[in-house]
Amino acid sequence: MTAVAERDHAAAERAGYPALPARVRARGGLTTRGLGLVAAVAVLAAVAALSIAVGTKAIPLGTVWDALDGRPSLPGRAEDVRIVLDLRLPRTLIGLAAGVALGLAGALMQALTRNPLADPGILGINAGAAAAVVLAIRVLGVASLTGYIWFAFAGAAGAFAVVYLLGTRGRSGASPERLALAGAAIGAALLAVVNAVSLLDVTTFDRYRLWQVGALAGRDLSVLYGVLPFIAAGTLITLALGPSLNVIALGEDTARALGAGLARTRVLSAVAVVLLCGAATAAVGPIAFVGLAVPHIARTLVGPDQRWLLPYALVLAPTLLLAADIAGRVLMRPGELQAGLVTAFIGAPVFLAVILRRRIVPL
Amino acid sequence: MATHPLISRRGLLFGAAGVAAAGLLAACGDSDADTPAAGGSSAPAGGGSFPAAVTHQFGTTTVEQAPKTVVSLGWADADVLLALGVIPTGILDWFQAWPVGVGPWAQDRLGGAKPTVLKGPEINFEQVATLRPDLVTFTKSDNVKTTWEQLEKLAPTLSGPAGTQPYGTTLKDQTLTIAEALGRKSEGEALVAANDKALADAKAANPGFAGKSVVVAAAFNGQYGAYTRGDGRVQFMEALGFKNSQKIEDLKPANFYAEVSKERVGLLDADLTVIFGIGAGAELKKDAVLNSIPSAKAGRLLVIDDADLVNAFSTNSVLSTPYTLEKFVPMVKDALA
Amino acid sequence: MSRRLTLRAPGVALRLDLRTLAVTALLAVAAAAVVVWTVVAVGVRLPLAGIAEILQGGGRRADRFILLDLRLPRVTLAVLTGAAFGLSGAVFQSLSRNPLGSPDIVGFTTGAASGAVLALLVGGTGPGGAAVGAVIGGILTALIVYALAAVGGGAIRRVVLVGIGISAMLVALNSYLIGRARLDAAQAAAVWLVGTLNGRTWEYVRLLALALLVLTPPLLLLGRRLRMLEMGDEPARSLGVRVHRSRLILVLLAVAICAVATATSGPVAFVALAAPQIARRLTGSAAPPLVPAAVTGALIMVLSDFVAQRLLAPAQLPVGVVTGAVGGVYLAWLLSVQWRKGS
Repeated sequence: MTAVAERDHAAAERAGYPALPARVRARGGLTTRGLGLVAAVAVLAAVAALSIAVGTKAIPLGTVWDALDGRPSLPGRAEDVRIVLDLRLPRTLIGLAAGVALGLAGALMQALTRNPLADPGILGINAGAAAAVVLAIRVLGVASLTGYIWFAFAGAAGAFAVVYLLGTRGRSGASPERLALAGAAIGAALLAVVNAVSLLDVTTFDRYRLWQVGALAGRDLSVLYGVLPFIAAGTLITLALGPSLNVIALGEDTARALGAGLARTRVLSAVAVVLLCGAATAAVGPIAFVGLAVPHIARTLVGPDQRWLLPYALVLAPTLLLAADIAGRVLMRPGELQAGLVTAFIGAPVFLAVILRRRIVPL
Repeated sequence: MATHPLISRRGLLFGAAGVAAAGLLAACGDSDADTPAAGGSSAPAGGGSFPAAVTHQFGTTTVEQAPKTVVSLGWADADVLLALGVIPTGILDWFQAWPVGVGPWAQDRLGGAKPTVLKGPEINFEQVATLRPDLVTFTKSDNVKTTWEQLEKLAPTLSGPAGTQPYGTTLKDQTLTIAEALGRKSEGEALVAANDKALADAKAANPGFAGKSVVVAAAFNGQYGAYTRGDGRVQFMEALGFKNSQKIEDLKPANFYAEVSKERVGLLDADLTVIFGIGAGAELKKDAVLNSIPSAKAGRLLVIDDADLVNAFSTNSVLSTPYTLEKFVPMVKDALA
Repeated sequence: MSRRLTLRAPGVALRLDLRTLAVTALLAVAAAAVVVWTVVAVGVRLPLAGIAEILQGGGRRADRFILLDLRLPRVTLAVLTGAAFGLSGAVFQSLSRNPLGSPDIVGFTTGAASGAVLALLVGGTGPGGAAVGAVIGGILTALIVYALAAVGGGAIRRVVLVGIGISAMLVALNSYLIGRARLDAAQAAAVWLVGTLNGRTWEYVRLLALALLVLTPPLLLLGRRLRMLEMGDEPARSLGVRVHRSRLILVLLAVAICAVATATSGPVAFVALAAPQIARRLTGSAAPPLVPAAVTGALIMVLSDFVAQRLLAPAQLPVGVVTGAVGGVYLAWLLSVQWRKGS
């Protein structure tokens, strides 16, 4: 361990955080980690800028700038201005918000369940949201992306609650395998509902498909406004939970011995997971893999200390999502590939490289 | 396997919008019925000469005698049967849109008969078998050979001609194949000729259409699909004198449509732009980006919102064409005026 | 659990086998009952007398078609695909010592589906070509997953993690391939990706039966070695098992089995995961037992296909919809009971 890390650790202790054994301490020194985070933010800013500047249509940077600046544009550039303001800006903002939510939710879930495989897909949360949305479409005739938000929330919350209750049933508590198995079982049943309803009705299928495809395109800012409060709340809760999550990572007995408010942390984490996953899924559909991969990537960069891991996940996830969205616009001109498809293609190799390069960092 | 113009079916699906639910509810029949649904049995009009042999992509199908019970599984095959005066016993409704299985352009030809309406997306082969068909029409289909082979074991089954793209069977091929199987080839030829004449008349009556460029596109998955000449809708527009936009043809997509993202909406600009999408008419009409293209600003953007009209436009059968001509041509004239 | 393992003296092993035997027999009887019920009464009721007549070559054409060309091949295929998924799931879960090691989670089924779709798109071949494509796709996926997981230690958890990563890519690939080019409509594509037995002919049955005939006997013969591998590489090695070679052969056989099944029915979800878990709990064995898992898989599949045809008749559900519901709910219940007991 480096002297810097030692000093940082001591500082953390003085600041009132419980003492951490070496295996949950952060990797790298405080300065390195801080600079890394600054660099990650810079990369995110660059990607966000790219997301506004680049698309299936080539628009001169000057026009993009004028559009953002609200300056009256040159004649003949009205269409380009609309493209920047009505298409690129909303999808970039929505990508940022959804990315933050997915990254944090993934990291939180993995910490809460001490399961490296935890993500909204594997724990059945996406399936829950999808089932609620598809029933809302079929039974209640809901037809707008903003209208799906509450249903996606309810479905995500319900599924997560059932999976968590099932996985933690009995005296021995939640083991990672149990939660994953419970998630797989409940998720399969919920997906059956989704398929049964959507495959038998053309209209439902079409509306559901549009939501389900996992895209940043085709959503306007009202969708963002609808989910933003939830993402903000979830983000605040999550970041505040960082130190307590470190204690959970030590295992239940140790955590109890350290006197951490275990139950309170669990409940708050679960609330945050539902807020974040529900909001992200409601906004962009069930985008797989970001929530799974990003925490692993963050962990290899900064180690398992949640106080660092969470901010890194917060920054890296929207970077991945926006990069995938940009790639989707460039690859298929003049058409587009949905971000949900591209995240898998970009994210999977990164994820594989990360887990292969080193032993899986214990949670 | 041949690639397939997904979007043409997507277009279909889009069109099915509002009425699909009603169709589904109404179609919940009793599956245990051992006999064909009452009122569904058909009595072919006008004789025909038998045995009739039809050659199609999977071989030659021979119909020994005038079929009494015909089941229509291909997309809009029922339109052709009804045009020939044959009331199908069962109809697979591709749009899942109408309780009687066919669009408003064909409904009066049922003469009050209520055919069994089969539901997708999978063909219920047992249900088809319980209708005890003498002939199954499957001319406009996905062209999957095993499905045809399966059906052929039950009854003589028609398919599209060799070289047909999935769901790409033309109006002429569909009409003639079915007419031949009924031993009434000349009547089929007459229907095709009448259809050609109706189009030619509409073209002659609207000299303003001649040579104008057109883009026909569907809104789907957050982007647009612009059709090329292989698609029936473009063929219909060109029969009226329009020319499909060269910008779209130049994209040379593998299927019958080119994907165009919302940003590249400028590609949809033409002398006339026709766009449709599921229940999305209102949304399309207020889409600021779409409305910024020149044809939209000049009022030459036509958003089709009426589900039945979209379905008729997409179906392109001998019965739907007159309906499309009657409803759609005035809209086009207005847009160009 | 470990107590069971240490008690594996000959006498005790016999006792365990008796329970396994009884459970397997009961499952098989249940599956047979569902098969008969499906054949007799799924849509139109065919009276037994009528069935006898048809089997002797009589009956009306439509009834003959329903029995001989629809129901019998379909129900046979349900049994075979279910058994294939159950068997291959049991092998993988044993090898990875993890329920999530089953081929539908780690991407082998998805890879097989990619192979089948590519074969159909590129080659335009029938069921046979799709099966070849599926086997190639499945084996390639498995080799990639295991090769990647083996880099730097090959921890068991790594197989699952790598598999999930590869699987995510393949799912994206499949929906891209099928969504754009496949076959027909978006909905029909979705049906195939969920897995369906609708309209399957004897050609598919022959194909899968042949594959199982060739692949199952060596797999069952290797079953003992699989049990040893479960104890861990070192103990197995000390018992004289050539660990890597045995594992490779087992993987190839199991992948091929689930790949051919995928080519005939599409990537049906959850049978490969649920059947071995259910069989393990019913037989009370430490690891997923092969034959009971196969029988459980067959039962899940025929039961699901019965429900799929009947539930919303005359509309047909793809069987993959129901396997998820049947297997998912039952597994959840089983887990709940077991975990409440705190075992």
